[in-house]
Amino acid sequence: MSKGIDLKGSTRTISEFFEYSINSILYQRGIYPAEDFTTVKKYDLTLMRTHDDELKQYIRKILSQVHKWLLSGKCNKLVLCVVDRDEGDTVERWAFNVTHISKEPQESITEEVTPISQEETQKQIRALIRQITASVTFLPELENEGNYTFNVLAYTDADAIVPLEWSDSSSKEIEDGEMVEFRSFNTEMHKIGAQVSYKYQQ
Amino acid sequence: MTEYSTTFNDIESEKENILPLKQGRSALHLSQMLRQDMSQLNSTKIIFEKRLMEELEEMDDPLELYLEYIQWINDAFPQGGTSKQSGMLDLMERCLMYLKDVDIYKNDPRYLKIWLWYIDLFARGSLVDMKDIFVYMYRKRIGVKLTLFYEEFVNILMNMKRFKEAMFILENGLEENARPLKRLQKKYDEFSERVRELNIDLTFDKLNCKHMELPDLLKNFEPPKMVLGKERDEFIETFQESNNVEKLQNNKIQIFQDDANDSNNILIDKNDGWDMLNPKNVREKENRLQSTMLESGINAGKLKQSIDSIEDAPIINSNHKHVGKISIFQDKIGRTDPVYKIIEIPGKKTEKIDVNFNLIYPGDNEEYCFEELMAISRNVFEIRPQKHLIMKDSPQNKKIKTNIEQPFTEKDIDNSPEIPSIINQIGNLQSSNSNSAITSAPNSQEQVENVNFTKTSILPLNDTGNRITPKKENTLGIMTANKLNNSPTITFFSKNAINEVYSMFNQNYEGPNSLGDNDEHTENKFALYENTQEFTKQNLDDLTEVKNVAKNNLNSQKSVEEDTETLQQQMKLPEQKIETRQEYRTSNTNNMMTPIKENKESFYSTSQSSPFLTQPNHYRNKNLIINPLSIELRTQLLSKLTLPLKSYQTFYDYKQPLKMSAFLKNIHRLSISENKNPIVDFKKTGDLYCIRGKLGEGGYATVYLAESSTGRLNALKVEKPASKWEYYILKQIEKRLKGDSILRSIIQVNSLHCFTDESYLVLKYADQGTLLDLINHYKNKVNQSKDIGINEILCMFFTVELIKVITKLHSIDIIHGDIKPDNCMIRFEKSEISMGYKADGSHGWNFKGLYLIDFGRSFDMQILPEGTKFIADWNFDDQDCLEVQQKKEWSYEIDYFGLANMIHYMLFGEPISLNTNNHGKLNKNFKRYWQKDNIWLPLFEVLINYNKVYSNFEIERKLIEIQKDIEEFLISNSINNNRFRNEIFELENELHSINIKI
Repeated sequence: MSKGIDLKGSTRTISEFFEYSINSILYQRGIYPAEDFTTVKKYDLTLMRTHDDELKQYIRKILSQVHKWLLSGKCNKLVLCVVDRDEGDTVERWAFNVTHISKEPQESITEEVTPISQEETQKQIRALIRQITASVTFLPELENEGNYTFNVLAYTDADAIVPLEWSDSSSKEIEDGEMVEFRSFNTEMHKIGAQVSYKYQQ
Repeated sequence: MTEYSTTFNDIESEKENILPLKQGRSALHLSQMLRQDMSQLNSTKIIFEKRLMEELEEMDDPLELYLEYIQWINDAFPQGGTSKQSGMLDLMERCLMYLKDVDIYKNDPRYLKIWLWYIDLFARGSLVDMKDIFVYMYRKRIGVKLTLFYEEFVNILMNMKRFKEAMFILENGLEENARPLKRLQKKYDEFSERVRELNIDLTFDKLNCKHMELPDLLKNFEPPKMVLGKERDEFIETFQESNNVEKLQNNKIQIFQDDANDSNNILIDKNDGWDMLNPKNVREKENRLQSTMLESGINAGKLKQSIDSIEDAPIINSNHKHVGKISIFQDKIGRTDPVYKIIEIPGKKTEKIDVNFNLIYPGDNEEYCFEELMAISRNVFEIRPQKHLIMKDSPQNKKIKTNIEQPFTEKDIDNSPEIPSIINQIGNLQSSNSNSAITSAPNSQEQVENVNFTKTSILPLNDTGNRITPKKENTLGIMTANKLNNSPTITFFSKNAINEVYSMFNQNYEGPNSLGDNDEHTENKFALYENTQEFTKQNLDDLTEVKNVAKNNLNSQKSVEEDTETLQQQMKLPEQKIETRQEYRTSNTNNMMTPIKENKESFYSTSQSSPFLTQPNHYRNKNLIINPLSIELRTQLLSKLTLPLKSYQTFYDYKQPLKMSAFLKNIHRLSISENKNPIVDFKKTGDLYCIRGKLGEGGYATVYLAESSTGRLNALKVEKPASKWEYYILKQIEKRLKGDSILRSIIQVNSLHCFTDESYLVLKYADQGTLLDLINHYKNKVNQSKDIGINEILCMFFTVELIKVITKLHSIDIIHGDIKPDNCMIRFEKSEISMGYKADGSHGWNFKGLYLIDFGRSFDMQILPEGTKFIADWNFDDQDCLEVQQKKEWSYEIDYFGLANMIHYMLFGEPISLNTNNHGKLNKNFKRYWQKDNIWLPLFEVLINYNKVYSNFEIERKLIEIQKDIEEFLISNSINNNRFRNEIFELENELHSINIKI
C-alpha cells in the first residue's frame, strides 16, 4: 500500500516538476514573451509560470497524459524541443529521463534503495533548476524572439496506450551538438536526470 | 553519434565568471579550459602568437588562424573578452587591421563577424563610436555585400534615431544585392513599418543621393583616428600621440569641407586619413568621459558646441586638407535655454527648480503668479496710465500704429499701489532681458518707452475723489481689473475668466487711434469684459453672479428685476459723470483726432449733448417728420442720446468693414453644396458664430441662424448698411420695461456688432416660426388657402398678448411701426399650463404667447419732440394704415392698424382690406359662431378708428377694456375643458417639426 502511495506521490512530484521546468525553460529561452509569465514560488524558489490560458491548457493536457504513463511506468523520457519556426529544425533539446527505481531491481544495488525524504527531493530539484537557469552561461542566444516554438516528445514503452492527439515522431536530436548534463534528483520511486543539447557554432 | 557530454557541475563553480556569449559556448571547451591553470593558458597563448608570426603569411586562409586564436581566448577566458587579461582586444584589432585591405575577406562573413564582435565588445558604450566604426567599414567596403552588415548597421542607426541614414544604408544594401537578399528585404520592410509607426517623415531627396554619394552622416563626419600604416610588429609598440582626439562626441556643429578633388571618390580607398582605425585605447583615452546614451537623471553637463582651441582640432594626416571650421549659428530668436533656479540649502539636497525665478520674484517684495506673468507677457496686465499722460504719449503711439501687434494699450486705472511697481518691473524686464518671454523682441524698444513713460505719472491720479464714480461706472467692466487686484489668481473655469481670456486675445483689435479717444475707448473696454449672454431669465441669473463678483457697493439679489435695475443704474451713472468727462474731452480735443462727421455712421460729437434736435432741415415744422425712417434722422437721434450707444454693454463698434454680408447671402449654396458653414468672428467679444442657415430676408436685412462657439443658437440679423437703430430701441425697451413680465413677449437682443459697412445684431433665436407661418400651417392642415385662419380661441389668445404688448410699448413711448404677422414669432416656451386660462399669466400661461420682433421701423417718441407726428414717404399698400395711405399724419396709429391687420390675418388668413366705399369697413365676413359682436367688431372699430373718434388715450383705454373682455371669454371657455390647452401642446409639437429646416 505504501508503495502505491509512494508511487502516486512520486509521480505527482515528477509531473509537477515537469510543469515548472517546462515553464521555466519557455520563459528563459524566450520562446514566449516575458509578459506572458508571472512569478510563482515553488521549491523555495521564485519561478516563472505562464498565465496565458491557451498555453497553460496545452501544457496541462500533455502532462496529464505523461502523468498517466508515469503511473503505469510506461514513460521513460520526456523531451522539450525548441524549434525554429522558419527552418523547422531543433535548436535546443532538453531531455529529462525517468528511471523507475523499483522497476529495475538489478540496478537497485547501485541505485539508491533507501527511500528519500520529500525535503531531500526538494533540495535536489532546487539544485537542478538552478543549474538550468545558469545554463545561460553557455547556451547560445536565441535570436528573433517569437521565432521559436516548442515540441514535447515522450518516450514510451511499446505497449503504452497512446491517445490520438499524440503522433509518432523522430527523436529530433541535434547533430553535432554540445551536450551538457545536469544534476539529477530522486524521489521515492523515481530518478530524474536532465540534459540539454544545443548547437554550438563558431 | 557520440556526444561528449560535459557535466554542468564542472562548469557550475565558475559560472559567475563565465560571460555568456551571443553564440553560446562550447560547454566542452569550457570545462576543459576551466581545468587548466594560468600557466597552461599562457603557454597556449604563446603557441598561438608564434603561429601567427610564422604561418600567417603563408596561409591560404589566415583568417582561420585568427579565428582559432580568438576562439581559444574566448574559452580560456570565459569571463569575457573585454578583460585585459584575455588579450582579446589586442588580438581582434590585429586581426582586423591585418586583413582590412585584403579584398577576399572584405565580404567574408567570418571576418565580418569579427568586426561585429569587436564593435559589440569594445564600442558598446557609445552608439556614436559604434556608428563610426560601421561607417569606417562602409567606406572600406567591408561587409557591404553581406546582409548582416546592413542589419547591424541599421540597428545602430535606429537606436540613434537617425532614420534617414538608416534608410539610405538599407537601400544601398539592396542595391548591392547583399546576401542573403531576402533577409535584407525583410529588414527593409520591417524598418519601413517601424518608420511608419513612428510617423517619421523621411522626405529624402532620392535624386541627390546616388550610389556613390553619402548623406551628411557619412560625408561629414570625422574619421576615427588614424594611425599611419605600420608594420605588424611595430604596431604593438607605438601609438601616435594625440591629445584630446575625440571630437566624436563634439561632432555636432563641427563641419569639415571635403577636399574638392575627393568629392567624387569618397568611397575609394585612400591612403590618407581614412586608412587606419586607431586602436581603441588610443581612440579613447581611459578615464575620459565617454559619450553615452542619455538617460534620465544623468548630469549631462554643459553642451559643448565648439572647439576651444587649435590644439583640440583633430590631427589629420597632412595630406588631408584641413579646412577651417564653418561656423554654424543656432537659431535662438525668442528662445532661451531653460532657466532654472538652483537652491542650495545646507543639509538638504540641492534643489533645482525648473522655473525662472527672476520672473516670479523680480524685485524685493515682489511676487507674481504665473497668470500675472502670462498677462504681463502678453501685455494685457491691467495698467492704467493717466489720461493726460496719454495725450502726451499719443504721438509716440502713433509711431507704433503700423505694428499690428500693438501690444501695449492703456487701460483703466487699477487703483492698486502695486501697479506702479509692476510697470516698473515690466520696464525692467523688458529692457534687461531681450530674450525674455515677456515681450516680443521687435517691440521691446518702443514698449520700454511707453512703459517708462507711464511709470512716472501713475501716482497723481490715485486720489479717492476720482475713485468713486469710476468704480460705479465701471462695475461691469472693472471686474477683471478688480479681480486682478483682489485676487491675482483667476479661476479659469468661470465664464468670467473665459471671457477675460478671450478679451486678452481680442482686445488689441483697435488701432492706436483709440488711444486718443480715451473715454469712448475705455467704455468700449467695458464691453470687452462683459458676459455676452442673452438676456434670458436663466442667463440673467448668471449675470447676477458676475455682477456680484464685480460690484462691491451694489447689493445684488438674484432676481431679474434687480439685474436690470443695476443695468439701468450703470447706464444712468455715466450721465452724472458726463460733465467731468466732457471736461476731459475738451481738454483733449486738440490732441484727439477729430471725429469724422461726414460719415453717416459716426456719432461722436463734441458738442454738448442735448435732447432736443435743432436741425431745421428735417422738419417742416418742429413736430412733423417727413421722412421718419431716414437714416439721417436716426443717426442724428442716436448721436444726441444722453446715454450714447457706446455705453451700452453689448454694443460693439468696429472701425472697419467686415464685408461678409454678401458672402453670407450665399449661405444656402455654400452649406449645401460644399458643406461649409461660414463663420463670423466678432473680435470684440471673441464670439465665433457659425452660420447655419438663413431664417429670413427683408429689404435691408437678412436674418441667419447662427451657432455660437458654445453651441448656443442665435438669430443674427445682418444689415447693410449698418444699422444701430433696432439695437437702440430694443435696449431702450429693456430698460424702460425692466422687471415687467411683458418683456417676455419682446424679442431679446444679445448684442450688436457694428462695422463700417454692415451690422450684425445678435438676437434670441425663436425656433417656432412666425405667426404667418402658423397661419400657413393651418391652411395646409385644412388644405385650404382661402378663408381660413387659425381657430378663434387661439386668435383671441394671441390678440390679448398683442394688445398687452403694444399698449405697453406705447406706454413707454415706443412705436413698433411694423406690426404684421411676419413680425411675430410664436412663443410656446416649455412649460406646463393649467387647464383654465389664466389672464395674469400664472400657472404657466405666461410661457405661451408671442415674440414681437423686427423693430427696424420703430420710433422712440422720448427722443423726439412732444407730439411729433410722421408723414410717410414710402409707397403704401393695403396693409398700411389709413393715415399712411392718405398721406396724413400719424404716430401710434400705425401700430393699431397693424394690430388690426394682424387679427384680420389670424381670423381670415388674409391681410386686411377695407371697403373704402363703406366707411372703411371690413370686407370680410365673420363666421357665425364667432364672437363677432362682443369682441371682434368693437376691436376692429377701435383699431382702425376710421372715424377718428378716439384720441390715442381713449384708444388705449378701450383696447384694455376689450382685452379684458377677451380674457374673460378665454377663461370661461377653458375652465372646464382641455381643448385650448391641448391645442397649444399640439401646436408645439407640430411647430417643432415644421421648424425651419436648415
